[in-house]
Parts: sequence; structure tokens; C-alpha cells
Amino acid sequence: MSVKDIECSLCGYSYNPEQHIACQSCPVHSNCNLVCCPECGYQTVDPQGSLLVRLASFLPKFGSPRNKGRKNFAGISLADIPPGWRAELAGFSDDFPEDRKAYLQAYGLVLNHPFLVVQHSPVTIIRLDNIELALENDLARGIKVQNPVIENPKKE
Amino acid sequence: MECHTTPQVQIESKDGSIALVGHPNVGKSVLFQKLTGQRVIVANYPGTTVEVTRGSLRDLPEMILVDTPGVIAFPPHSEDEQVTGRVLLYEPLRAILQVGDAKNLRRTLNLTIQLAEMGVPLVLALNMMDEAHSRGIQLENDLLAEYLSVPVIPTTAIRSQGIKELNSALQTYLVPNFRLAYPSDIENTVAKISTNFSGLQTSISRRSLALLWLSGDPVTEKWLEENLAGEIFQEMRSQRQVLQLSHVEPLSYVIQGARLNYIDGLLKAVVTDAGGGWRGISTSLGRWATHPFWGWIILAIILYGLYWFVGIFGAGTLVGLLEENLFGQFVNPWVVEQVTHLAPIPILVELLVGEYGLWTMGMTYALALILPIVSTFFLAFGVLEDSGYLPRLAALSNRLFQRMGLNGKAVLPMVLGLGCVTMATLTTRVLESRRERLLVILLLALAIPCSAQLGVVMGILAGVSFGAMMIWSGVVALVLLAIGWLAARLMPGERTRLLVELPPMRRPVFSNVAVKTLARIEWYLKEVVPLFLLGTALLFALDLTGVLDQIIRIGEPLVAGWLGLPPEASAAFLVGFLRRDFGATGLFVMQSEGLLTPIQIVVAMVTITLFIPCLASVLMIAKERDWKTAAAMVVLIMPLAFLIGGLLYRVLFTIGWGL
Repeated sequence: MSVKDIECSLCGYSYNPEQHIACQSCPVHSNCNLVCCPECGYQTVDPQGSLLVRLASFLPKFGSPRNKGRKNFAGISLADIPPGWRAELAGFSDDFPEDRKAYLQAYGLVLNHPFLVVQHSPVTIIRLDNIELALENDLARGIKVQNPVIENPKKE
Repeated sequence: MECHTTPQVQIESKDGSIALVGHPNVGKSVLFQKLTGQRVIVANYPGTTVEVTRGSLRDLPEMILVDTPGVIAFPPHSEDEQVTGRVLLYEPLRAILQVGDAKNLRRTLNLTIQLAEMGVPLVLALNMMDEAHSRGIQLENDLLAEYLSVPVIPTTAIRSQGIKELNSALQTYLVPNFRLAYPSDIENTVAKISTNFSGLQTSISRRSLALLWLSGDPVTEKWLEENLAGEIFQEMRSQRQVLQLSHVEPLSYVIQGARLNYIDGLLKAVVTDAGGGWRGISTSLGRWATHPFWGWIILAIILYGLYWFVGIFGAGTLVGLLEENLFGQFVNPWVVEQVTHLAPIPILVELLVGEYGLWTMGMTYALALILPIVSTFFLAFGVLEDSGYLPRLAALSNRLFQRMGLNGKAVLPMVLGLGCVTMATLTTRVLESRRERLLVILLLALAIPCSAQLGVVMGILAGVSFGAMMIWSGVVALVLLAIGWLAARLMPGERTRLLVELPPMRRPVFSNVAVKTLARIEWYLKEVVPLFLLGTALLFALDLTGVLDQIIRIGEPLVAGWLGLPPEASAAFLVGFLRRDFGATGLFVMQSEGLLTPIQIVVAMVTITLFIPCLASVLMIAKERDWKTAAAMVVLIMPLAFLIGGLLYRVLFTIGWGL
């Protein structure tokens, strides 16, 4: 589910508000923020379309679950592999951005291909063949890895 | 390895250009320079080529070479990558010259296969052979050429190695008959879709078009929508959707996966890697530059070096030598004497060498004050670019940019903006989303001073105190962060996560740094001199007609009342509309005449820094985005600059700083 998606309060269906704008033919509501659930038709307001909501987005979110930055799958992620270790790509989390996945693939990071973890702070850096790639820790947490082995115990 | 190659077909020379294509930072622009003799700005970071450059080959003048922005693979993701996609699709092509990184053959071949499938004569230049050898990598070039049915030429462009062989290969026009077998359902859909493309006018093959379409390439999609009947286009969409249903991963991923499987097999046959890479001082330097602690220490040292070279040496020593000694004692007195002697018409003398004279003000500002500052900045910046430090700075500063709804890649146009904001506005194309490009353009226009202005500001503030410098940089940084933070929250859309390649740290090549410094100085002077002359002429006309006094009087409540500056400073702000460094230079002259107190200097410098950068940059914003955006930025930035300046004056006055 993307950050922008809305979960319908009536039936629980998740949908992209941009694709389900309500009353498109209505002249009165040409620029309104209403959206309709494609499953049950329940109408609600798109929070991303509201300036006030965006302004309020920097207020502390009391009571909201603190899951930011945690991986959402079982197993090992790239972020769990210590620097100086080698691992192989095992896949991506479901919400991993498609364009980033395509970029990594274009650089040659494909299933079962080994790479070396260089560091995790301030960003994760990996060595893939003869390329060094820097990627945000959020992305590292969405990359599933397997077969981690230490590269050079003394040096690294 | 599932593919087949048949003997190459030699085709007749035909009209059309040669597209120079390759990954970012593999030496395309250096090769372009070597093949055409033309200068383009080249640097050790992605995104140097943001616009297409054309030039005829030095040895084959009838052939036009088109230098394209770097592309990782198709489908393209950023705006500059899409430019390359458009060149391949729209331009009549006689051949493609791919420049690849010899030490990273895996990703090079990923692009080679896509280009070979296009059915256009292709030549592969495996560049950076020296780096590949130093890392213990040996390549079987002939065997690789045989597998791909493409001429493979090893080159080290920076040392002009392989250029002659490349010129010969470009005359052969060999169409690669390379065909990779994809999963059968993809092959079937490609065959069905390709039947719709007969009669379409493009250089690339129908099979390649179909594969690009299935991969969701936005450039191909748009082109096909323009060139196909509506019902055919809709039918193709349904075919793609049906095919997608039988795959868990996106089709682009499945297609790329087939290519990479083939490449893995190919690499075993053509590459021997002795594993000698990732050793030595350059690897260590690269690691220190991104270290969470030492990285910031290195950045501080670099910034201090930049301050010393541009602020102290450029704006102090060199400006002193040029303005006071050369222009003040020799050039200007001689010009005044000549003009007075040759054209003894008072108004003409006044226009050329008076208080607001085209020579004594316009040219003196441009040549004696600004030129040494921008030259030192461009030289230092060229060294930084070629060293490979800037992508590491992107990684190091990522967290800071995250707070502004951006990622570390935004540091590239920001740092380039310290050289020239107009140039940097163009470079925002390397950013991946429209939202990020807009945010960076706003921050560039608001709070990134260009080198000319930075040098003048440093020169003035260095003469006041270190505290003055700290207040100025603190306020500007605070405004940059606050506006970036606020704008990121108000602008809808998601932030793109950082993913950037870190090229090896290299010792800059002097000739490359010198060439691009000269090219940038020329570019800068062409832009700055006409605007300086225009500004001076405007001031002269306003002074002559008495309008300047009226403007100063009208501006008095704002400039004198709100900002606490002498009323004469209105003239500096007025020309600041043309170029803010011109405005800053006017304030510099006022300071050197003892007309400004320390508190006034700091307030004036903060206000002029937050001003609209220059007329050229506003035009560039309009060109890159639209007039509405450019106008909105001017309307937002102007009052904000005066608001911050006035508030700062009150705060400093209240706490008694500089009194």
C-alpha cells in the first residue's frame, strides 16, 4: 500500500485516491477533494488534497504506531548485514519502489547476485562488481538478502 | 546463453546523425570532445550533459555526432534520461556509438543489448580501459564483438587512446543481427504488437519498439500514442495488461532479467577478473568522504579551502590587484583620457566613463570585480567535480536534504548553483520527480548565492568580522532549511529515496579542469557583460532623467526605514533585479567608501542574497518549467527577502550587535 492510498472506512478496501475522484462530471465539484471507494462507493475526503492536512503533517503524531524504518517482512534485510560482509539478493519487500528496483536491476543487482556491504551510516553503501552504490537506509530495509558471509574478518 | 547472432549486414551510408549513448559518468563528453574537437562541460558526476550537444566529427566532417545525457537503462526514469530516449526515437540515425565502462561490463552490456536490439548500426567503445587494467580486469574484446555482432573498440578517452580506431569503426555501418530470446509469452506478444508498427517513421526496429512498449517506456508510449490509431493503441494496452497478469514482477523486470541472465553467461566467456580493485589511496579517500564523522571534517576542510581560494585569494588579492592597481591606476584613467579626447561631448563622456559609465561601472564591475571571483570559483569547482567528491557529498548530506523533502542528489544542482544559479537550474533535470525539481529550483532562486555574489559577499564580510560572516551564513542557511522544510510539506507528492552511484575518486586531469574552467568563464562573461551594460545604461538613464532620485525617495521607507540602510542603497537593489551580484557589487563599493556600518553590511548582504538571482535565471526557470512558476517564485521571493532583512536589522539592533 502506498503512503498516498486511502483505506475505505466502510469496507476496508485500499485504493489510490487520484484514480477514484468523485463526481467528475459535476460542475459544482470540479476541484473538490472528494473521492469514492471503487468497491462500495463510500465517499470520503482525500487528505492529500487538503492544504490544511499537509500543513498539519509536521505536528507530532501522538498515538500513531512507530513503525517508521522497520522492515515489513520476515528474514534478513540489507540493513541487518554488518559492514564487511557479503550477501546475495533474495528479493524486495512488497512496498519497495518500482523505479528504485529497476535502477538496482540496471546496475546488475539481481536475484542471487553477491555484493559487499561497505557501510550503513549516513547511508548504506554496497559494492556490486566494480561499482559502489549509495542507497538510503529506508531502501536497504526493503531489500531481502540471503547467505551472508564475512568477507575479510581482520581487515573489515 | 539463449541468443543468436547472424553475420553482420553492411548498409549503405545514409543521412542522419550518430547518437553518442552511455551510462552517466563513463566519459561520453570527453569522447565527444576528442571526436569533434568541441568543448562541452565534463565532470566526474552524473548529469553533466543536460542538453543535447551536436558536433561534426573532426576526421569525418559530414557526420554529426549527438552527445546525449547519460542513461542507466531503458525505460528512462529522470527527465534527462528521457532526452536520450527521445533522440533515439525521433532523430534520423545513421549509427549509435555506445560508450561503456570497461570495468563495469555487466551493466554496460545491459545497455548494449538494448541498443543492439534497436537494429541501428552500433559501435561499442569500451572506455576507461586503464582503470579496468589497474583493477586486474582483462577483456576478450574480439570474442565479445563476435558474440554481440558489434565492433568493440577499447578506449581511454582521457588519454586519446583508441580514438583513431573508433573513427574507422564509425565508417563501417554494421547493423547488429543480435537477437536475444525472451520467455515465450513475451516473444508471442512482441510478435503480435510488432505488426502494428509497419510504416512508422523511426530509426529503431519494430521488435525493439515492442519491447520498450512492454517495459512501460514513457517516451515510446507517448510516441506510439501520437503515431498510432486510437483503437490500435488501446488494444496494445490490453495486450500488455493481459501479459502482465501472467507475471508477478513488472514486465520491465522480467525483460531485464532475461538480458542479465544472458550477460552473466557472456561475462564468464569474455572477462578475467584478478580481483585487484578497491585498494589504494583513492578507495580510502572515497570511504573517508562518506564516513559519518570524518566525512564532515573533510567537508569542513574543503569549504575552508574554497573560502580561502575564492573569498580571500579571488575576492581579496586578485580583485585588489585588478580593480585598484590595474583598472584604478592604469586602465580607467587611460580610457577616461581617450574618451574625453576623442569624443568631447559631455553626455557621451558621462555615458561611457561617468559615475554610471558603461566602462567605468559596467565593464569595470564585470572584468575587475567579478571575473577574478568566478574564475577562482570555477577552477576550484572543476577540481571538485573531476575528483568524484560530489556524489559522495550527496550521500553524506542525504539526511539534511531529507528534512527538506528531497534526497542527497539535490546537493549537485545546489553546489553548482554556488557557481551559477542559471546553469544549476538547468541541471535540476537530474532529479527524478517534478516535485523535487520544483523544490530545488525554488531553493536555488531563494538562498543559493552564485560565485560572483558569494565572492563579493565574502570580500565585504571578511572586512567586517568573522561574526558577520557567521550571522550571514547562519541566517541564509536557516531560511534555506525553513523554506525547504515548509515547501516540502505544502507540495503534494512523495520524496524519492536516494540511490546514487559513487564513481571512483580520481586525481583531476589538469587539461580537463582548465578547459572547462575556460568554457565556463566564456559562458559566464557572455551572460554577465550584456546584463551589466544594460544595468549601467538603465542607471545612467534614470540618473539623467532624475527618476533615480525619485526611486531612491520612493524606496526610502523600504530601504532606509525597514532595512535601516542609507537611501542610496536603493540603486543597488534596483540593479539587483538584473543580477544580484551587480547589486552586491554596488553595496561593495558603498562599503569601501565607508558609507555602511557593520550592521548595515550584514543586513544588506542577507537581503541581496535572498533576492531573485538574476534576469537570466528567471528566464531559465520559465524555460524549464513555465512562466506561471517563474512569476510565482518572483512574487514569493522578493517580499520574503525584504521581510527577513528587516527582521534581522531589528534583531541585531535590539541585541546591540555591531553598534
